[in-house]
Amino acid sequence: MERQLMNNIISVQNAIFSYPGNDIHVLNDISFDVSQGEWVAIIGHNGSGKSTLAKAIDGLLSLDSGQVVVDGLELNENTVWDVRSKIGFVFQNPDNQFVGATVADDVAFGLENRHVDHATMVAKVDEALKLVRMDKYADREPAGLSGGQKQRVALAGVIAMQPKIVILDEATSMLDPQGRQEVIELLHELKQRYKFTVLTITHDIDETALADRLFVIDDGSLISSGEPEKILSDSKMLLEKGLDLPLGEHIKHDLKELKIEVPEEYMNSSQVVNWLCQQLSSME
Amino acid sequence: MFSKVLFGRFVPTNSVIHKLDPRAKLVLSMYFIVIIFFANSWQTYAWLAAFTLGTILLTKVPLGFFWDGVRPLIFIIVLTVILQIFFSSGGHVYWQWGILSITQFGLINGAYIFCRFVLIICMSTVLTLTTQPLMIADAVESLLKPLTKIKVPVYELALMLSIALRFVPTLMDESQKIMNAQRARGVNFGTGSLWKRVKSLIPILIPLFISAFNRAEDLATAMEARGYSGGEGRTKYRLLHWHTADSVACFVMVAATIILLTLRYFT
Repeated sequence: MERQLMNNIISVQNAIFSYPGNDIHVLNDISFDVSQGEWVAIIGHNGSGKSTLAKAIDGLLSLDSGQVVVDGLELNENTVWDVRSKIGFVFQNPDNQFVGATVADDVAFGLENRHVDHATMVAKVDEALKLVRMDKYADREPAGLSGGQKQRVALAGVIAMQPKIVILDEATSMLDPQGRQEVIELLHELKQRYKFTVLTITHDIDETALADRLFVIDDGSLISSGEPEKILSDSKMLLEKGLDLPLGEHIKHDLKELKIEVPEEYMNSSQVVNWLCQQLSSME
Repeated sequence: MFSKVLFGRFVPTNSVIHKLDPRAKLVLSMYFIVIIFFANSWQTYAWLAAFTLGTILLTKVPLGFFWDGVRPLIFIIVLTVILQIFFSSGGHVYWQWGILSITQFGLINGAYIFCRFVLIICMSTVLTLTTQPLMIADAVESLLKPLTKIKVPVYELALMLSIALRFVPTLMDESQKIMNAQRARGVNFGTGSLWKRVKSLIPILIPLFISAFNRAEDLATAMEARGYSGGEGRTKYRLLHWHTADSVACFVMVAATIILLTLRYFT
């Protein structure tokens, strides 16, 4: 109920899409709403249509049928640039989305497209680079940066535009665990500060535990949505859909196989550790 | 393998020449290459050599870098000089055999050609060593801007140039990776007959092309998502500034030309 009272910032109704020359629906009648300031994570196996969905929201693909409304604007040919200006998009491959010849140039790219004047642009680029702690690298070329640093620059490019929505399309999938952690923590920090809405598409199941709401997509359909705790504890469904279990659930699942009784509700890894300690001490 | 590519080997020494506007440097170095062809005597060449040496010293770049610029072209220089020496006629004949002869004018022409080559290479090396490729791209864009009036897509050309420059190291890394991957699977590069060597390039070129297509698609999507809808009306983050030093550099070049022409016509 509460969710309905809040502003819907993204609303997708009956989205259907298939790639040209292919009869299979990549998006098969998907409908959902995302409210202002929410952090939504989308999971699903490879080829389930997650990335297509993200691109459809940004108007990078046009749907065969259905409707996308972003912040009150219905997405169509006339509004596509306005819709895009509300959305910041970070893609998967840090190398392939780096447009500028240097870090500062890349952050400025979106601002240049929006005809921001030079003085404002310089100030915004500086500020955005400081926020992602890349200000010391402003004049560096992308070839000298690590993958995590490149994704931080991509985030800075998004932050400089101050979008209402940030979409991360597997933005951490090509990073090492440390770089992934850094980018996610940074995103949390920035979300606190700017109160934007976040839509992350990910394979990293542990990352989804941080979201407000979790969508599971399978073969182009939304099969489950709700709080991460609820969905992540449904290990049977996750395994059926070819997805991984979060670490805590994985341990619980293995214990269950050994006929050890475990609590039903979702537990993250430290909760599982606590629970195990309790069990062991009560045994003595 | 790629570290020998001189282009883009920017050496930051923060000298006077480094701080010049790239437009000034680009135009002046091209201009210098033109006026070299006005030189026709020992005095004129000596003057231009002195001028070039002065510029090189001003850059504060170690002289070894300039030698690196000349070295790959040494074969062409020597060949041209030798042809010039053996096939020129006129003046005192020192040695003759059939159509081959070593003459006074031949030797002089050979020496001139040698000077010309070295001076041109040194001056263009000054440009590439003191200017980042990115700055050269900016300068080209700025200099071509008048052509927008005759519908030349200057902004698009400039964007293509800057993206191309940005992807040079990325693609070099990638080709190195593909080469190593193919080596690991038993492809042998650089041995065998010419035909065999050419054929062994296929397993590098095809993956490299395909990955470039994929990159281009990803990049285009990312650019579109960030609001790029064509070059028209975009503002610019990097601006070029024309300082007094740039005007001074132009005056110095004009003065050098006047001295050159005086030496050519009045001595």
